[in-house]
Amino acid sequence: MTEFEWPWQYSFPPFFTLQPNVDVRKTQLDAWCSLVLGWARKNNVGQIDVTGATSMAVFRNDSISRALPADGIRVVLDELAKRGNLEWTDKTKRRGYLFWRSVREWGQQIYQWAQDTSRINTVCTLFEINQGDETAGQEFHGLDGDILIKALKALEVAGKAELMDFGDNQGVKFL
Amino acid sequence: MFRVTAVSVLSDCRRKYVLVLTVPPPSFTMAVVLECFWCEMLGVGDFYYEVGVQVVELCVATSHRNGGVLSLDEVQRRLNARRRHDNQITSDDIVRAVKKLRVLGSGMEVMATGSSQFIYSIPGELSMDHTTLLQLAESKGSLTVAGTATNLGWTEERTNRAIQHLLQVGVTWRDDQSSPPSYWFPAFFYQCATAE
Repeated sequence: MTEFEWPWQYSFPPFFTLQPNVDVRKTQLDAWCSLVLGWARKNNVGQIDVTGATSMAVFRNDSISRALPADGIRVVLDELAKRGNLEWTDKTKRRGYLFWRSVREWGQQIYQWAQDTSRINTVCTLFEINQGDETAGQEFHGLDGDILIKALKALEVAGKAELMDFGDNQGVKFL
Repeated sequence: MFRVTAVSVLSDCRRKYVLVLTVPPPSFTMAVVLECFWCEMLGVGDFYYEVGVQVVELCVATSHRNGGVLSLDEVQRRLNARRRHDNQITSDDIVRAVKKLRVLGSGMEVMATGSSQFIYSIPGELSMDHTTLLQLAESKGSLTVAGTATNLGWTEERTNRAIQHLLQVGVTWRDDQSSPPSYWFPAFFYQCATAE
């Protein structure tokens, strides 16, 4: 796997300080959102915990001794939530799901795979979908379990799938 | 987004135009006034005119990240990347093109600093204090208020005023995690100047 390509801003010390100028801050936030989503995608990070965020590699660059402070991280996460790329798990806004791709798009990709592999009208376990050998080449391979369920629920709403519970296992029938 | 149609209108040049090139925040508006007589003087398709337009395009396209200041090296490199190998331009070509455009009130200016030069295209004029500060920044990379005041023989208040203006137009960014706080310039930051 190739290394994540850090954008030029990541080496720029002031990038880790929230800029006072309103227009520059908007540019800065654009860059932060882009960076966080790109990094999350590359490293398969589906969830973020605010309390642990300050030690996440994406919010700090030790080689230039800079780290985005907690209030800066909060601003970036709020911005991601505004853009639909982050969903808080509860009102305390301590934990959230990161979507570099929307839940609906994930659902569509999975359904496409189901069609391409003649799985319509058959049942799959969730394990098969995000961890099975047969999906090794797919983008959703390794997808966070909770996000996978959201994606399948989105398909359910669209009438394309039906989630099933087998006690220990969870599965889905593609329609 | 910068309008490509602006370029083609400029090279048509049949009547007097006031061209307003606007870029979304950081807001940047530039007005270039073209007069018929100028076109007649230089002829449509004048080499420096074309280069000048490309420099304007580049300034506008990158102003969101450097606030409207570019090193001459970067301008030359980026323009030449788009040109055929047997059609490369020199930094002198660029300087002349900018100077010609300046005659038309383009608001673009070339500043020399020691052995290197930079181009700025910032709405409103830059005072001498601002450009002096930019020249210092270009050689040092980052500045502090105290260090700069000492270097230039200014009061801290005067230094601060100049820095605040450059902060306002997005040419400099503030770093609160250095002690004392420092100011950095995307235009003179290697990774920014060479980024895609």
